[in-house]
Amino acid sequence: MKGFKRNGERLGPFLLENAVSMIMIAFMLFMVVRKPSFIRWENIANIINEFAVYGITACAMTTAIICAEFDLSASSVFAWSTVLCCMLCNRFGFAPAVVLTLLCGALFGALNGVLVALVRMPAFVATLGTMTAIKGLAYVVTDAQPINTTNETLKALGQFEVLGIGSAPMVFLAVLLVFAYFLKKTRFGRAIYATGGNYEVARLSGINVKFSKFIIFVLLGSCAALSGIMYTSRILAGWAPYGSDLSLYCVAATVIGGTSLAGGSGGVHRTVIGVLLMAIMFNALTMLGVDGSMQKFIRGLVLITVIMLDAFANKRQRS
Amino acid sequence: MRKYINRDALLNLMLSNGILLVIVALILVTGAIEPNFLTWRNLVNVLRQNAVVGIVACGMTYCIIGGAYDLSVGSVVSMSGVIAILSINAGVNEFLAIAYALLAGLGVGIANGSLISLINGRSGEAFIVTYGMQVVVASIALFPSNGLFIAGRVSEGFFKTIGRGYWPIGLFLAIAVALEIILQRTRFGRKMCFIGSNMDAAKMSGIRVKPHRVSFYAISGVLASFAGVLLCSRVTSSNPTAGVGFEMDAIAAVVVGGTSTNGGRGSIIRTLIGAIVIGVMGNALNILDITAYHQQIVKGMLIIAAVAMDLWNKRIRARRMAHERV
Repeated sequence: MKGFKRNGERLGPFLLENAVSMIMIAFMLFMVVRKPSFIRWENIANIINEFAVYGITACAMTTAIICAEFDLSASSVFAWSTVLCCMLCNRFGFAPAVVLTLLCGALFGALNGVLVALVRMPAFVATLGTMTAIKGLAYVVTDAQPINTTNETLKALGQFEVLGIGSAPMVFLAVLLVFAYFLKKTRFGRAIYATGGNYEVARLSGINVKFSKFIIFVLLGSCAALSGIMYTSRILAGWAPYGSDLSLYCVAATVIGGTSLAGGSGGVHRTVIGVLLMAIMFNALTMLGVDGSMQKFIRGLVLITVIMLDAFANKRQRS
Repeated sequence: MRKYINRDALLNLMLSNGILLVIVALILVTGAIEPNFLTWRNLVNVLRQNAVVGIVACGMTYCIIGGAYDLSVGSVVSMSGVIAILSINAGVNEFLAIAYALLAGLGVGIANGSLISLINGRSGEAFIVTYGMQVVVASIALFPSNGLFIAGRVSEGFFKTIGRGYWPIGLFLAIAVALEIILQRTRFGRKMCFIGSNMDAAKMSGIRVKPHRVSFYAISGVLASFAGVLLCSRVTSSNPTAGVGFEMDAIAAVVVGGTSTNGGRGSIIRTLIGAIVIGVMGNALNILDITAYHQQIVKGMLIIAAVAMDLWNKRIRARRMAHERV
């Protein structure tokens, strides 16, 4: 009897802590009953291909949030990378284009890193500034026109698929594994957790906090550029307005996954659930024939609900 | 020794009023190149165009001083315009239509504030809650017309007047002065600074933190919806995506003005100056024939420079205080 009661007591917090996964499972069951075509492999592959591009950046954004920072400029770096990748592909070919685009992303990330880690600006305003400037740069270079590319290698990369799964999910998986390994298993990763958890304590313990703060922005810039390249490979075009919702999407996916914005906890594996939930929701609502503005409405409500549930779960845990 | 202090004082003066110097230099240079710039008519135009963002930025300043951002304001601008125009088209009295729009903004603000203070949210939680609200409210603005423009059947009267002539400028200045007096001279304003600089300490000193935080967001929501009404009044129609990006413009105005994003410190007059600097700069660059896209680059760098200057200024002050104590 006593054991039973204890189990009963644990059920509530368990549901609360895993609310997002529960919502996802319930929602998928509902979809399977309502639209059996939802679980056909073509559709599942579709969902996976859909979320992988943004998922790459979401991994890096999670790392930044673990370090108690975040980055609004990722969306502009993404747009800039689609433009740059197309231009360089047309002029120099595939390999130099990819390398230079990634380097350029890392450079923009390093700029953010210098502003935040060394000048010690609040990340929100520093990246608001770089976001505006980089977006402007992408518009200026292209004259606000979309740029096409006919590069064969890039096209092959975009069309490559195994059982319906394209190249983007494979890159995403690789990025995810690398991030998960580095965050959990290396000294470097633990330093990022420590810096995010308590900056002053981490500094006094001899961790190079400035380097931690700097390097996460470099990683984020490179990942945003990588997302941009994968996106370009699919649509073979670059344009300044692309991906303007990327930054906030990644922050939302991270939070829905359960990484706290306070920093110092969470992990990239959690973000996969966040990204997956958003992709499934998007796919399912489209299949149900819900129109665009209603979808937005539901997405906003889900976001608010999740952050509220998360806050209550944390409160219970603490008390 | 004396020389050192003088140099420091000069540097300090320049850093704390750097933005003002930038604007004066900009006006003089542009005025010298293009005589049309320094005409009364052009300057009034600039002020009128920036009054709407300025009013939103005033509300944003309260939220930022109180410790967190409000990302929902852009959508509130769009939504309140849609509500006002729809009500007027349905034959509602124009004052009542404005009241409906303001009530909707108040509602969104109270919802924001209640949700955030319910979970005792810090700036991170506030960021996500108000971002979610931004998405929700933006979709509400889209529902009635499926995203299309709504032409207003507005006859001559109060509603049509307030968006034109000197009205927006007068309203903007009046709102800014009133909010500045409340911020600097009332108990409510001082409590706002206290809550923004240290929420836990404020709570332990007996300040009722939650109702206060709700009120910051409520004020921000009402001001955003009022800005939406002004925007609609100028063009006598509503665009359900009119306010997209306003929250970032408002934050830029606050930051360029020099209000600290850490909360607890700042002033509305600074935001007023920030909004005018951004407006004058945009206009000057327009007159100098620089495209909107180049302007974005300049604007981004201006934001970074403003924050860097603020930080530098603070560091010099801290150093000088330490110096004096020794």
